[in-house]
Amino acid sequence: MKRAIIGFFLAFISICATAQSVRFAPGFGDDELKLDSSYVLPNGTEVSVETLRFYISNVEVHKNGTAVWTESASYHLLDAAKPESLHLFIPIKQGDTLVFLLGIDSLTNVSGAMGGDLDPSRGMYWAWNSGYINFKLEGTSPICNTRNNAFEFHLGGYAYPTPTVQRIELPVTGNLLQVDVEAFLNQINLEEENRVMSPSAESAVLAKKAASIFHFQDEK
Amino acid sequence: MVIFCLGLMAATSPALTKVELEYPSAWPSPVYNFEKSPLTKEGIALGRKLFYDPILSADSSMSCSNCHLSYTAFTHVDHDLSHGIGDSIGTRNSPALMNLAWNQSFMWDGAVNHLDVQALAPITHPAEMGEELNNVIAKLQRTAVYPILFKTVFGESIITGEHLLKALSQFQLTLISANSKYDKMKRGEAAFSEQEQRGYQLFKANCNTCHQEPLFTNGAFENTGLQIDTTLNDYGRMLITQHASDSLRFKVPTLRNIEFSYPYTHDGRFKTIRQVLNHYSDGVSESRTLADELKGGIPLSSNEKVDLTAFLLTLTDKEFLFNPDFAFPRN
Repeated sequence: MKRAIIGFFLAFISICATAQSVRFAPGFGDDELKLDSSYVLPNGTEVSVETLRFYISNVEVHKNGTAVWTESASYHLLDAAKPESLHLFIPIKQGDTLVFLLGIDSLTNVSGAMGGDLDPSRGMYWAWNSGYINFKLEGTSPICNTRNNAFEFHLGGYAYPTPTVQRIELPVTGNLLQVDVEAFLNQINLEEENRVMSPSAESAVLAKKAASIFHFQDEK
Repeated sequence: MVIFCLGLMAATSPALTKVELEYPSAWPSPVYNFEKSPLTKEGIALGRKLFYDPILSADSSMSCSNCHLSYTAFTHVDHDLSHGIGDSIGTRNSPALMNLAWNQSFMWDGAVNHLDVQALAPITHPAEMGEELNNVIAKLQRTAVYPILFKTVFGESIITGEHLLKALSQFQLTLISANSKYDKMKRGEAAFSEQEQRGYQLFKANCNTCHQEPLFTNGAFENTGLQIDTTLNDYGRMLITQHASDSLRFKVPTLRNIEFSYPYTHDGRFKTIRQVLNHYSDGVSESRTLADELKGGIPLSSNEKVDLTAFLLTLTDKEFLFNPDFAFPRN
């Protein structure tokens, strides 16, 4: 009986050590990202974000360089406006590495109409230059000399020489994964670059910048 | 999970009647993956109903068939450039639709990479059907009949973009043209006249590199030396790839049913086959991306043009053009 209790206790400990989900937390620097709210970048530029949506796909958990957990049909559309979309079931532990793609792989991009999160009706698909929009960030800034001061980044394109899908590897240090919009906007001069909406070299460069804004942080 | 469910649905439900695509044994294998999306009688009928239903456009005034008429090889012959809702006019000639299962890309510039997602382009373009995919789905969902038909074909009465697009594909995949005089000659069921035979020799010597048999296209993008129309400034494939080497290249169209699919070229500038042949003999405009085969034009005498035209007319397939299974669904 005593042994059974210890066994149960040990099992309980190991369950606690394994988080069952990862929450992607859109943020703005140290703050939580609130859509349609004003923020100020370190350089003094005022910005407001209306839309943040992106695909996370081919999610894997690695331990010592080998995959210990994979997911079949691993395609997730995350939307800052839909909190339920930001929780993904991924069993991770401290010391693991989370590996995923930001965006959709090229094979899926040429495989016709898909369902679920990949359905073209989700607003993340280009009708006139077939392919998924991997990362979408829209907002406004007075510095943008555009209609309604809007900036629109629709990053996508799967074809050589400007593929935009990004492989991201992150050592697990918690189960809160920050997506820091400020870190993306800090790498851009919004006055000059504020509208990218088709596959291009510019889109490929920006996709790398978008991949740099994902970081684990400990739950506060 | 998404794909797992798809996998289950891809296996045709026993209540559905599976349809095997029929095409000549000498043809290459289709590009379209029928294992993933098998054809069914019910799916084809749903696709056909959708193809002819103006509900797909913003003001419910236009269906696919407005620009793609079955009796003219699924293109329009009234206009050089396509017309859309509210009398809007597009920038290109609507292409004829046939043998689509063998297409590697779609649209004159290859903007679309798969038949399933092709319909998104005309549905959403403001100068075509001007509608949003989610609106089309909502309108279909509100009808009495469509949810039932989608449930029958896809097992779900909730209509999705995927199912709408796949149904449209199913009908379009059946549009096979393989019963022209040319096809019958190849099968030994008909004989060419001497003139048609001479035209066929001229075709093989001068046209077959791009308009490759048996589909009469190689699916590539070529600059055929058409001077740019400065009212359109259409640089074709370059708009998609952004490579200067793709400037002025357009998809090689099939020549099947050419007799009925006028006007010709991406901007519909030629109304007759004769005008096209005159372009190739005397009108080819030199530029950096001009197809090698067309440098200096194709020397063709007046008599040779007549012979070549006689051959091109053997590509007319009346069984295709007047196939009652392809026309407006009466019931």
